[in-house]
Amino acid sequence: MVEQIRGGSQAVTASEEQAKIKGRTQREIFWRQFKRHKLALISGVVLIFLYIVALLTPYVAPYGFAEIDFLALANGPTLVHPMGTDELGRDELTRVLYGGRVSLLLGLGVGVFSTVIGAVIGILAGFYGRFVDLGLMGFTDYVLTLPFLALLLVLGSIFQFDAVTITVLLAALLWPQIARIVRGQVLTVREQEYVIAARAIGVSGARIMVRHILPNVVGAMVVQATLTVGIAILAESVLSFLGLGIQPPTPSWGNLLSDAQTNMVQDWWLAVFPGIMIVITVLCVNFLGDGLRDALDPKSVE
Amino acid sequence: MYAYIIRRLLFSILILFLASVTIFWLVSLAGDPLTQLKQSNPRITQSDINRLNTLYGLNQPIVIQYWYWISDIVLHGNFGLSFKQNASVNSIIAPRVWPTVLLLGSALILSVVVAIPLGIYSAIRKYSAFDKSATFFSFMGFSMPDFWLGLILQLVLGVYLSAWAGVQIFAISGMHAPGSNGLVDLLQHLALPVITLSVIQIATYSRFQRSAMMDALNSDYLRTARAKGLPQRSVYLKHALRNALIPTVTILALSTAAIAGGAPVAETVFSWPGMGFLLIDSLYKSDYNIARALLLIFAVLVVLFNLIADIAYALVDPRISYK
Repeated sequence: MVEQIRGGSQAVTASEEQAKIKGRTQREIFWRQFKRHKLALISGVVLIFLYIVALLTPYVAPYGFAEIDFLALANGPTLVHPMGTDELGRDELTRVLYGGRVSLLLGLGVGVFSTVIGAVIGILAGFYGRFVDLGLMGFTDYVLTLPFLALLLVLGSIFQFDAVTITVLLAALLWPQIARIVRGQVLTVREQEYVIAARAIGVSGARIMVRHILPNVVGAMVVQATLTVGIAILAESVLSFLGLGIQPPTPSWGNLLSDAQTNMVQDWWLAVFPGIMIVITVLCVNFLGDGLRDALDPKSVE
Repeated sequence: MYAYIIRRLLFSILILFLASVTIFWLVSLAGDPLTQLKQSNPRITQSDINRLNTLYGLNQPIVIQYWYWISDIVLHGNFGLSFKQNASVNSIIAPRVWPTVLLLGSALILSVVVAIPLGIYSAIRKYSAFDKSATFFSFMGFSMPDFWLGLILQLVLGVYLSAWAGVQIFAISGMHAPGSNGLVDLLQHLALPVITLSVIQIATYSRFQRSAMMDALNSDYLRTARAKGLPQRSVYLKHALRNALIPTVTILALSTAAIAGGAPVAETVFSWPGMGFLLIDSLYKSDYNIARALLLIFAVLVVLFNLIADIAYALVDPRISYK
């Protein structure tokens, strides 16, 4: 068939035909699938935008962090202050941007750290099996059953949290989901011919895990990591809202809402905008995770 | 089957034991509960301190303290004494039980009543406009912090709606208006915290119900039912629905556990006088024996309902064998 086409047509069509037969790389398949999930695509763009703004906050914020507009104390949304001002005359948009910087980077940090911990534990447990598996997964199950929010509430009431300690604690409590998923994947991957072949030619265990197993479990890992970012942002907001998380003057979306609660009926805009930002961010994160899951699912490929 | 149940039971007891150790130890990190007392009351003498230390068992090593604490709970149902109030933890918690049971029970009923039909209808009309909007709202539901939903409900339904209607329709805080204990008054106070707790559950469990129904709709026995010419109605109601409801028992139990976990936040936002509000309050006031007791109660609830979910699933679904 290939020979026929090549022999019977011009060079250009032949190479085109060849490209078609060569098939698509994994990355192309992934991207084609992912593009079809419009909400995930839009969410991805929105998130990239939010993170760029978070990194550039001091340059893009309309006012200084502690800048006070004495002529606009507790004003509703206007053209000069699109999200209104608080009772001290600080621009709410600016505060939401600075708060978002903390919340977004915290979410990303928790996502990265918990994925690293979860991946290492999941791969070790799945690859070595037996008592390593039993020990590591027993510990994973134990952490999984801890009521993480209640624990954070207790710790938050005893110690003063800052953004870094909350990130570390959330990562320390949210990795088990990832570890379990990764382990499940490793159990199937390690029985594949290419792993057995690698073993047969004497490749070391560490190298097999990094070169042969890790790339094949990355998909499932990334999906769960995405969802973890959302969970972390929500958890931080609850903690800070209850006054047990990030403490003012460091703003976060959670403690902005905590401040807003006292005068909520008069200054509704203070309660509405930080919350909307949380919803938009976590919604985008969840849609992105959903899109990634669809795109990585071999059953949905057409 | 029985072996499976017994194994799950033993595992749950082990988890509870570990949880109780963790709770006791974490709370003890707060330090000496008498420090504040010593600082605030200059006239307190060393003999007073010694007496209090003996009363609370604080002069014992932590392992012994834990042993006294847990054995008193298991054997006598006694949670010890409050560090801040001159009362036993039991007498402080007791009046908080009913409000929490009422709140969680109502939220559970509302979630189930809405989530199951929603999920089933979404699966039957999959990829329709209805299904797509249900999916979108589910995503909204679990992307939303519950306390913020509570705040917005207070603002929109509690304040603006009442201002617009001229009468207070929904109350935004507490369980009863002062001096009133009628049913209508109770419902006015109950509505918003119940909605707050239910929305996330509905979002989550309508998804589960949808996929359970989709599995049933794609199954071979359903194709058989269609092939032999049964009317759509009986295909859906008799063949698909029955099988799609198998996971619902699990959902019910898991939902209860999840709603219990949401209680502290919702109760705090609405100043609902239940155990969750008391937990947050006791943490603010450093009344750590109350916090310990409540954390343990919530842990028991969560573990218990997870266990029920597992066992119910094994009992209801004959296709799954547990060895």
